[in-house]
Amino acid sequence: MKVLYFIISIIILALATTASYRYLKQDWLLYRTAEDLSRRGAWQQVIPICDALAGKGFRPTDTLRLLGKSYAEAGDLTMAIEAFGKLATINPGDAGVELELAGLYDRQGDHARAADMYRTLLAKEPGNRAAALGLARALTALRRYDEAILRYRAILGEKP
Amino acid sequence: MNRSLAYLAVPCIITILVFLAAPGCPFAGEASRRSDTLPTAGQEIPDWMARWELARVLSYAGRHEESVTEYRKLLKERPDLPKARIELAKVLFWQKKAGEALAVLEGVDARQLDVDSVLLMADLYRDRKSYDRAAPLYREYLGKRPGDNPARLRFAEMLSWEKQYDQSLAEYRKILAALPGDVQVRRKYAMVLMWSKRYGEAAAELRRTLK
Repeated sequence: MKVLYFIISIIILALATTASYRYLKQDWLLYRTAEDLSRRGAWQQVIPICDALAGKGFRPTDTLRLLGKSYAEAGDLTMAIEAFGKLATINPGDAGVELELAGLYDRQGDHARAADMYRTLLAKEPGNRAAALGLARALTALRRYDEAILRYRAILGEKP
Repeated sequence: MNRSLAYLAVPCIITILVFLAAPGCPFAGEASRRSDTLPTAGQEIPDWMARWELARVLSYAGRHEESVTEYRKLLKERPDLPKARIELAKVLFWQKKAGEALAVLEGVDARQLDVDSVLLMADLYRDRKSYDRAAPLYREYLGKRPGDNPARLRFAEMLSWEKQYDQSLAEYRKILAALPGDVQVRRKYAMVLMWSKRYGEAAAELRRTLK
């Protein structure tokens, strides 16, 4: 009989915890919903949720990252840049954010700015293959082929 | 009693686990949280992909010899890339290595050829006087791009060399319908009319070019 009481107590505890969590941590629930939607590729639905959460300052790093990614996936590069720009302000020196920003500028057609960002990133992290490849691609887009070729050869570990 | 308790305990434990894993629970989903982290674009790019991009950039820069070398290295590592073969054939063609370009294109499954490659192959067969192989390729290409008059002109000329005058004249008429003022095409058309012994029509066409 004691075992039965114990089990029922545990169930009640689990239910109570879940219910109180849903009541007290609504932002968390919204964030999780946004995460689930992003996993399903429903980017347009993620945007208003993350926008609201970012406005409230809820987990700004994660929310802005997801917001930026959602805008980028939805094709709104200007808003994606804005979100990642805010993220870069919060986390200065975050290589992942800088890489993402450079990629967005490249996609937007601002290859020169992207190249500068990749170059800055490479100065800090010379072994960053993603930045090296991004720079090679940006230089190709700028028709600076000889420089791009040198970069590609470096990525492949070949001497020019 | 113990067994009945065990029967009760199992569904209860499952229920508890389900609640603990539910999205609203504070313990839920922590393991999946990293899934939204951004991919570090480029880190996952393999060497063969970088080499392919290098081969392309070398061709854009006009460094065809180096580009061919890189394409050959790439295809040695990844022979399953028909698009890279087509690109290599184009670079070889720009290098005026028509024979090698054709050999590379012949190694590509015909279904994988894009419309430009079909025309390139047709032109290469035409240059090698393999007219029987070029003709179906020109037809396939012109079926997809009927407005490409320079390609149609090459096809019309080839048909006339093969003495297939009626077919050649039909192609010339299509070109002249699109470019009625093109004197050079009309003169070539008149020549084919002469070769097919339609002298009266040929004279009339030549006269039109003199106005």
